[in-house]
Amino acid sequence: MFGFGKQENFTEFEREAIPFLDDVYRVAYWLTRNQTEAEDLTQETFTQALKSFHNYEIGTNCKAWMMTIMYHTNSKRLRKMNRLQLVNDTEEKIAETISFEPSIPQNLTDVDVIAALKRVPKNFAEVVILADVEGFAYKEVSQVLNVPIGTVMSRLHRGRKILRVELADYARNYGFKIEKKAGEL
Amino acid sequence: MNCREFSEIADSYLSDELLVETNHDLFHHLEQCGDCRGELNIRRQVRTKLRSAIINAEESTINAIFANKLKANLREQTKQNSIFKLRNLSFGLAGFATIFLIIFGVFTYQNSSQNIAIWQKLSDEAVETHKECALEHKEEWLKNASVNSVEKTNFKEQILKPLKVKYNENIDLMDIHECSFHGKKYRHYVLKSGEHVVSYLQNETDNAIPTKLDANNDKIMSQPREKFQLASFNGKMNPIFIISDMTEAENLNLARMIQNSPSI
Repeated sequence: MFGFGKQENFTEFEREAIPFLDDVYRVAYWLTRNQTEAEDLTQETFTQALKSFHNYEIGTNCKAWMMTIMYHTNSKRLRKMNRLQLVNDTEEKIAETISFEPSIPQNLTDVDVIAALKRVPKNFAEVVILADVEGFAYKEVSQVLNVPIGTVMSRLHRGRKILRVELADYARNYGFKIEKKAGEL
Repeated sequence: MNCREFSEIADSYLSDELLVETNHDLFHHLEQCGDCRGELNIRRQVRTKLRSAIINAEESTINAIFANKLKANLREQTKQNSIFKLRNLSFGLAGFATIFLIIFGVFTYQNSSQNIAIWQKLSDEAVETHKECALEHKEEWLKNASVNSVEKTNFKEQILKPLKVKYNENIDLMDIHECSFHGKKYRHYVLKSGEHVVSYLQNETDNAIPTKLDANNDKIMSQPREKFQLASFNGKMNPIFIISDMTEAENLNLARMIQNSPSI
């Protein structure tokens, strides 16, 4: 793994991987929704990435590589803690029952958006974050999460829909005016 | 494409995940539908809002102290791994060297033991040759002492003359002949030193045997055999044996002089 060119190896790691420290932590936070756990996960991810850096092909998508390691590391952590859970039926059903596309109110603040996102089930929120915030292509999300691309598209569709409902509900509760589109229920 | 179909794929359009043909259909619909243009604009704004909200959210921003500590840990870990690997490599090399030395030692010991055994066997045969040839036919060799040949003349000139000067004026050559003993051939130089008969036997069957002959690394092995003293050493091509009933010192000294002779 590490040879005599250790220092050069770390210099490359520093150049390629360390710039994504903020991104990895951000996704780790939204994955765990807890600062301490996010820090632990970030540390484990970077430690593992450093060990496996000889497997990384320079010039490829290092951010996606780091995210893949993070999700793999997280799965192992959850399995250790017996906390690994698949998307349950209830969440799937909730997502499926949302049959309309509520309009989004204007003038939402960052705090409103964050609060709405927190109400989206984790399994849907994570694909939304990876695709719409971190900018990964569907195929990359599929590789990071190790799920079929069809599953990614399905979860994204539902995750976005739930987020819109949450944003609309949030706005409604706080007195924003929501204009219904023609044909909406 | 109708408004419902547009609504299904609007987000994928924003993610640049649509096929060229679908994109074309979508543009065509947008040209005709103001509501959907508005809807697309809103979705774009929501996405921008979502991205900026999450990226700027304090709770999901990494703590600078933690980040610096992590970087330092990773750097330290790299150093530790280097030292660990280097140490492992050193241990590995040391282990390999030890195994090599043990194997080499065992091989050398076995080889050396084998060579010593060969020397002992050849020495026994040389002593027997001395007894059965040099001593048994002593009178005959004494008679031959006055008979000269080219080989005897050369031996006297090249080997004996320096020995006489440095070692013993009384030493003389009686005979040179070929002896065959137990299937091995010896060039037998029968010498006379005072009253002592000395056999200088050059084994012509066996090659020189590479071995450290004695504990002092003298390259001459000296040992008493029955009532004789035997000194042996490697000549240029073959083993050489000097056997006499002189003292060990005298016999060894003679052997050393012969060994150091330029002709040997």
